[in-house]
Amino acid sequence: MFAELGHFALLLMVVTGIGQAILFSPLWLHASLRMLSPQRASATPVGSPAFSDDDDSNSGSNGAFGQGAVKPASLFLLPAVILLLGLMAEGALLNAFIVSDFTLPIVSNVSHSSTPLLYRIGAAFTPDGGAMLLWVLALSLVNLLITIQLRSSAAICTDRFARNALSVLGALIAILGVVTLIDADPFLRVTVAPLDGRGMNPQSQDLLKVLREPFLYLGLAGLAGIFAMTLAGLLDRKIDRRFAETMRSWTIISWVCLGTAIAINAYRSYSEQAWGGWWYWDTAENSLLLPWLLATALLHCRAVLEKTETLRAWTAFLGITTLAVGWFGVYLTRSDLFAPLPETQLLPIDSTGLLVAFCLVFAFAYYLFWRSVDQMGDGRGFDVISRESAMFLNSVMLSLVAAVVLIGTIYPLVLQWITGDPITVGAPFYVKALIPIVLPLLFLMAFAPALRWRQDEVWMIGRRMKLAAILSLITVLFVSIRFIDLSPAPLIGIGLAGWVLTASLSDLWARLWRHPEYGESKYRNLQLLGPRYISMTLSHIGLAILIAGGSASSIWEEQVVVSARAGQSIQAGPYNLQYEGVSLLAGENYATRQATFILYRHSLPVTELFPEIRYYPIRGVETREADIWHGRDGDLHVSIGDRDDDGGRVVTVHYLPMMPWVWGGMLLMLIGGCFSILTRVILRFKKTGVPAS
Amino acid sequence: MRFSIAVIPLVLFAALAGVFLLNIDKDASVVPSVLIDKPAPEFSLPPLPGRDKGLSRADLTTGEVSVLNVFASWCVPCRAEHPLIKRLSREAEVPVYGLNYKEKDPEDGVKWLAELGDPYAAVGMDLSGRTGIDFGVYGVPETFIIDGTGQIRYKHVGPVTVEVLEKVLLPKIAELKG
Repeated sequence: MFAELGHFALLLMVVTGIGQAILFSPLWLHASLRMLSPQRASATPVGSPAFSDDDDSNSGSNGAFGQGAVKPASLFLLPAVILLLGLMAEGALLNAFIVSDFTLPIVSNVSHSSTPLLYRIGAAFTPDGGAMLLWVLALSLVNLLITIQLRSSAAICTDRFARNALSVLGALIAILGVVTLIDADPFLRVTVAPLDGRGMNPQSQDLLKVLREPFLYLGLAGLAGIFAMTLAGLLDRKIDRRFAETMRSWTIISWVCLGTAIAINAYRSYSEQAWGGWWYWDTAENSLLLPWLLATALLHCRAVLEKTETLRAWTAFLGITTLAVGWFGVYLTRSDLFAPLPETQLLPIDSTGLLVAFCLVFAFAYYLFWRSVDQMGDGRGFDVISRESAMFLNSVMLSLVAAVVLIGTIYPLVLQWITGDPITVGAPFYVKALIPIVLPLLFLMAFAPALRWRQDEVWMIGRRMKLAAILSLITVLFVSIRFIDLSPAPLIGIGLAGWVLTASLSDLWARLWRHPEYGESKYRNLQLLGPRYISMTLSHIGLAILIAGGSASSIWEEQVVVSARAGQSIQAGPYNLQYEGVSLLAGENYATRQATFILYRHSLPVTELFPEIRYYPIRGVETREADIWHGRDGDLHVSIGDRDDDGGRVVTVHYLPMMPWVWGGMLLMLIGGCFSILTRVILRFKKTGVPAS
Repeated sequence: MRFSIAVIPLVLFAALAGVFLLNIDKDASVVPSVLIDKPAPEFSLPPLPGRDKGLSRADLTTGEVSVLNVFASWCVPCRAEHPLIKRLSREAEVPVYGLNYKEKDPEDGVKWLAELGDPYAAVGMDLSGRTGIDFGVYGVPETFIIDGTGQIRYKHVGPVTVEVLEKVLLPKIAELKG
């Protein structure tokens, strides 16, 4: 029963989405009014100011018409209804998973009556239909939030802009709803239900993996919001400061959400695998990375647009393309173009609708971009040596990185279509192709915060960057003398990380102490710097720490593989692991062989570690769970394998110095983003709370 | 319509979209199985009680296309698909063999076939489920199409529906028969 209600709610979402697309669009509204009421249309000659939709730039007349047609309060009605319907549909699907309703193939394919409740809920997001539904739900949430935002900042945005943006969002909700219904309808039933489900993919039975999906789809929905605003801006030929201000929170929200999904993904592969790596350049990872890279580029050139009203076309291009690569990534991972994912292996997959919709939506968007971008002009120019040009260069380089990743992802596929030979593109390709772009990117990244807007002088920059340059050179010298046989690549990595870190800190330092404009107390100076500067500095420092950790752990990694017997002790870095043996335990829906290790550091006991091999009988699949100790100077990563012929247990130990820096760096970048969102919310709350000031 | 660089994104996008749209049918959207195009495993199963012919790999390598249907009396979907297995055996004009999977009591399979009708050319009884494991059975019912040389050419998991029968199984069998 609930499933049918959910199905109906999803259908209604499509209908209301179309309704929103039509009702909010001034163009459509006029056309439909003319059709519906011939008297009125004949009374008002076509082309009269009130009904003129031929002249798109004439926003004043249409705006006046629009305000009369729809009262502001009723603006919330449709988006609120759509969100409610989305919650109903998602609730119906979750209910089916919670009560294990195996008449729904979507449930019986990825769930089982013995799957724990939390993972039954998580399983609802993994199959095609569930993921699409989650995306549509996230989109309807973003839709309502944008309605509230545009309504409360009506002074900022012209009415037309708000209507066009909401119209595009309504259309996107309807399109993705239809794609869900055509490709992978989650609410279809079978007449004969299986006795039990086939069980969740054990790889997905993990709390972090469950959390990844909502972050991913919220990030994509945020990108859809940016996309809608960009199209609205293009329709009005108004990609300007106001547009940039409206878009600001959504670029950061999407960036944080996608970044969280990437961090979760990286940590999961780190703790699942025996070889201690955290990034493998596979399709799922790349399709997360692509929109995040472009969102980062957008974040930067949006700031330029807001400050100087330049880079209009480039910002609009990124606003469209960021969603395009996100959508394309969903298509790549959801289709079976590559080796089928374990999760989808049991169901025939159809993602044709997703691809066709992708082509239609973005063909329209890029066409609109082409037709309107030339008529906008690009504001005042800027000097070659200025913060604008540094940030522009940065976003171009980030886009190049994204292009390389995209090519690496689809090249094997296209080549296979042409020649029939399957090939794989792995880390060596990415390293070779990305290093010439990423190294200059990092080198330039340090300059941008220290540069002035509009115009700057080379000698001034030299003075400001002096300290950072000296400190990072000292770092490189120290490391290369201390570890004489080091290959250049990681050395450059560490040097650049030091360069970015010291540049960020010295810029912060200079602004806190030396700046003549700022007052006497440091705290007051910190306040004057503003949340944007602080969040940028946090994120830049985070990236520097991440790179330093990644480079260092790849250089000084120690790997020990031994066949261990109970009582044996294994040396790795400053640590000593004592193997205590393996015991058989029962988990909630799995059996596990859990090994016990006692970890000593300089012969003092630190902790106990319990790597496992789990066996999930429903799917007949084994998974390995490493156990990790995050120490001060590095991670100790231990995993167990099978018993070998002599009766010993294969134990793989990795000592990864500075690995916690990688996780800390990622966290700091995300904190930087959250800081910016939070302060904005708080400031806004303060402003509305005290209307007098 | 004058040329401008703003058209480049549209052109690039169209090229990419075109490549993917043209290759949309090349998805391998059939349920993949590790056993597809592999020889069927070696097995020899006893007959149902009161019958004299069991089932072994030799039955699948007679040079004729055949179908192997895994069923059990305790399996509700098997009961639902049974009329369609009968139809399959009538219309496909190939021998349909039954693999009676993990019965509690050997008589159960006999009673089930007596009640619903017996479309099978021969039935083998897999009480331990050992042969089922070799065939990679993870949900009953399952239906395999095997060519004359004993190669598994297609596998359907779950109950056969009218749609699966008409759109997948019968055309596949006809194709293999040549």
